[in-house]
Amino acid sequence: MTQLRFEQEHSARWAETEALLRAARLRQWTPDQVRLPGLYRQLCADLSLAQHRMYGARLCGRLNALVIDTREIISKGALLNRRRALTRFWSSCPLAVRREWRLFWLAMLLFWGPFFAFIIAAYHNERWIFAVLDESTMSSMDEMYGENSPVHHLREKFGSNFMMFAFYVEHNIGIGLRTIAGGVLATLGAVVSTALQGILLGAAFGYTHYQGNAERLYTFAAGHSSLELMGLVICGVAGMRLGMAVLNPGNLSRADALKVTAKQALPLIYGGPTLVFLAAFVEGFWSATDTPADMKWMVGGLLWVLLGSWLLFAGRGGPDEA
Amino acid sequence: MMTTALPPDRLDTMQRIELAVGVEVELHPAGPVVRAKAWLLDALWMGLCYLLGGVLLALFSLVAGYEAGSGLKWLFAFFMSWGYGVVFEVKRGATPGKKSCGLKVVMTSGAPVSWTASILRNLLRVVDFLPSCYMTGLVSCLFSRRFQRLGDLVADTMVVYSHPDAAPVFQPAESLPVPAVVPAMALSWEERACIIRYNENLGMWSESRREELAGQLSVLTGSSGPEGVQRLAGIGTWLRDS
Repeated sequence: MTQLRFEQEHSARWAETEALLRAARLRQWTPDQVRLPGLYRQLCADLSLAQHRMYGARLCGRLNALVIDTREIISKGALLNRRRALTRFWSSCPLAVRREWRLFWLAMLLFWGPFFAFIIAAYHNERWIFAVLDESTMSSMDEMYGENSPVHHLREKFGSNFMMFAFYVEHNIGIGLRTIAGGVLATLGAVVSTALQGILLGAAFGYTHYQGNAERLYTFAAGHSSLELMGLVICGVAGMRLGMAVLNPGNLSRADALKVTAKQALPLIYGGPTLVFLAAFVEGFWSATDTPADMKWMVGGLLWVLLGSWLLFAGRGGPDEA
Repeated sequence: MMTTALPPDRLDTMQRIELAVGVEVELHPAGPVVRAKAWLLDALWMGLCYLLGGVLLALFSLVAGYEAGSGLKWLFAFFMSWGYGVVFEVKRGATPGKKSCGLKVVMTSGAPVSWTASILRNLLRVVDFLPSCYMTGLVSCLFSRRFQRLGDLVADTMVVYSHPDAAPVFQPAESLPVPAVVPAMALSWEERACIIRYNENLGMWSESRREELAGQLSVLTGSSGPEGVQRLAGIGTWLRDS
């Protein structure tokens, strides 16, 4: 069969496919479009024939484009099973954390080590703290958590809770996401970022120990501390997991290892920033209210226990357990 | 059945993706230059969005107070930093800057990009940007077969021309009308494909280039120079029409 006859025989069907694609792109849904999968199969056969018979670049190019476009329209709109996604998130993140327990404890060390070191420094050698914090930070800490500062310093106006919530979303989740992304650089970004957060927060907390009302800061931070700090640690674990693909790709090439590891680290990549988001919620709308301190400590403690149990026990006994 | 696969050490970057047995589509990955152009356009678009957003937020602040407006500003900034690419890539296949350059983002299997992949590749944008102006991404592109930056490698995606004819190759001209010439010897499938391709691409070569290439097959055509070109084109015509 010559090329001319081939085109004559099939051009009606190709024109019909093109018309259906055009309508689908404009989101005009017609009952005819149910024929698209069948037309797609025939198009694939036509393309294969045209390539094999070497009918030329023009015809092959046209069929090539048609196949690609039809496939795009057909494959789109895979429905998201929301309930399954939610249950998967609930169990897959702790499972991943338990699977990566070495990296988890390393991240914990990287964060809490400097944190407590700087708090201890407040009592022994406060120059460490002054090396880290700058003037403006120290003066704002004085304002907010000094001996005589008012209870809710920044939250008097309408909407200021929302503003702080939004600020924490942008700032803290941004840090978490950068930690994860930085991990690709052979874990360097994640390691440095986690340790840096430990240093900065430790210095800030240590400063209030040294000169200020530490109890006020702890009361403020109690509610959201578990969510935010463990969220950050989990982001660190995710970043280091990606970095380990570069450092230790095993039998795969580094590119392939990155691809595979990203799938494995996905629960962590979703889990960490989600925890930080929840923390922003608590920090924005609850932590600065004038609930009594005891209540805040209780809620904070409760959240720590809940978070710990979630990480320790959720997803156990399920089919995905390693 | 004869295979349509060409030898693996080709010079061009065309990606052949097998959809099913015997069915291969061609996708043309986009190189760093056009992606840089798309990024500049996207930067302009984002600047426009920021401008518009700023104005709207200022108006909103007048009504609802400074703090509420400021809060929305932070959320807006967060979305623009991390979500701009994701939303456009999943919903429309490409950000506005890429679309105006005729590019789109697909998985390496040719399928449309998934939410997960788009989130991953946009997440790693910060790393690709280091130390400045996407230097890391550029290096990664140059070392990758499919021009993938780090984000693409992790997410298993690639940026391709949305229509292969949008790629900067010359349109194959219709073959010159030459009388058909029967080849003097039997030709293998690859050889026939080569000669037909020669015929199609004649229009974009200079005369001396055509003669140079036809001269390679002087054994087949039995002549050289302009006559060789004519005879080879004739063989191509005969092969195509038979």
